[in-house]
Amino acid sequence: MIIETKKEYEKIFRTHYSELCSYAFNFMKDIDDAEEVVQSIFVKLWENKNNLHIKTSIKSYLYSSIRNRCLNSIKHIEVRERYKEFNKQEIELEQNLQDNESEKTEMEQKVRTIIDNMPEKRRRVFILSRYNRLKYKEIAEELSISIKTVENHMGKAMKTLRKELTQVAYLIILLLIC
Amino acid sequence: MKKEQKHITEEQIMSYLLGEASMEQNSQMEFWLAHSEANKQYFEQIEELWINTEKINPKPIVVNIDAAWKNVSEQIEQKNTKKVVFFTNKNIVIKSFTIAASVILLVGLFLIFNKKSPQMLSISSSTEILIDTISDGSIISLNKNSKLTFPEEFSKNKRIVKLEGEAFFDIKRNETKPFIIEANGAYIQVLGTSFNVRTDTVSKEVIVYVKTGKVRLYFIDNNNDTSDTYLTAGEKGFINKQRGKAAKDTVNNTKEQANEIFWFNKILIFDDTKLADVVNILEKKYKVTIIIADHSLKNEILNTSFENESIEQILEIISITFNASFSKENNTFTLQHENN
Repeated sequence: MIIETKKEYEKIFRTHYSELCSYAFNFMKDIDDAEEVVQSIFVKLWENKNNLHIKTSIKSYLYSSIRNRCLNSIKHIEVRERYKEFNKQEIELEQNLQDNESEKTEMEQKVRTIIDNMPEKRRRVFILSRYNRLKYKEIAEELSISIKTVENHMGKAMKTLRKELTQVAYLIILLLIC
Repeated sequence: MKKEQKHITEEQIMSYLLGEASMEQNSQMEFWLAHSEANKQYFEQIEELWINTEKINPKPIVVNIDAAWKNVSEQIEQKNTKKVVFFTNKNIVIKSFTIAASVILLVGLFLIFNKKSPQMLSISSSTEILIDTISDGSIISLNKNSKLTFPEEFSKNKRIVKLEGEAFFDIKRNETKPFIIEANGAYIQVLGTSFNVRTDTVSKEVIVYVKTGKVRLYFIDNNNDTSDTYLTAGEKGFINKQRGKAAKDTVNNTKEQANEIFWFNKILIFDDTKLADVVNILEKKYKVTIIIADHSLKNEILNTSFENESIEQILEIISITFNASFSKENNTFTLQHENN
């Protein structure tokens, strides 16, 4: 059995929730819908925890459950067909990533974890700037804070990333040497 | 100069990188960069980091993990308690039977001594729209051929009613007593808001349009699973218990929003609408046939709103606007140019 206690379950939830929502968002194009899908998959996971046979990892199990749920809820056949195509490419892409670039994905994972663990406001500021490419002024308006605060959050976010990632890089180098 | 060097922080570097810095800050930055190789390296390290953070796939979106966990945690707790009664050892099953028996006995005694079982009331409309206020102060407008059933007095923690047909609800706010409408096996739950509910007797679909506030639309399937969607002002939700899954749509412009509850407030809004489309809408809303005799009229553009007006009044206004006239024969109207 993979999950025995609620504590273990919560840990899995907190580790993967944000990333899975981003994944579901690619299909659903709506944050609420994406969150709804991911939460329902997690509820199912808890219900089926006693008779779950996962061949690969819990992460890839969650990924494929979410992909299927999203595709099912995308009504129009046309759109579904288009996503199937997109899906094929993506599976290949995933395969490639797994095949030859394991350190890079490890790095990606680390960046993601650092972002997920930032304080709520800072995480919002960073995501809006980096991934939604909003200007400081737009972020300030969106979150009802001052531009100065946005600047401050960005500085702190980069400081955390730099600190934690240089440690990782250092570790990788160490591993390579040993 | 050394002092200046210390003053350059990640914050300033980011502002510079993202083009958010002022002219003065920019030149200060360039001065600092040119000052030493170490400064330059430090800058490049952050720049590279910034570029690298872009490469994560799928790209992060803003979600609230704590709130999500709370929600999921509540859902699994609910499911847990449900199962306890049925799937534990015999002892507990016997115990729960004992408890159930005593509960039935108590309820029976209560009913004998307190003969006030809730009396069900209903209001129904036939060929006219019916507007009524129920015991909690909520205002219900029933469309033609519709029926609403509700208890004479609501229970302590819920206000449950049952709808057949179509109605516009303006619910009196009560945080401790949610208002729940049952329609075609689906449920609509609100605290206090105004919205329209339409049920389709053939397709069994339930369509909810929210005018103000927030509404939860859901159903419970045979496996006790819930499918739900939340609607806010201006949104339209669909649910069909037989086909499963709750879905929603945004009704974007004021024109569509108003026309959604036309039966109730008799307001129609047209902006930049071709006369051919106007006529289509009028035919549906007033259940009449309208023929545009002159082809050139079809492409005329109408910008206006009608409130509580008869089809004759509306056609009169359209005629004046486009220098046309209309004639009526049974349930068919014909629009044509004045000079014809």
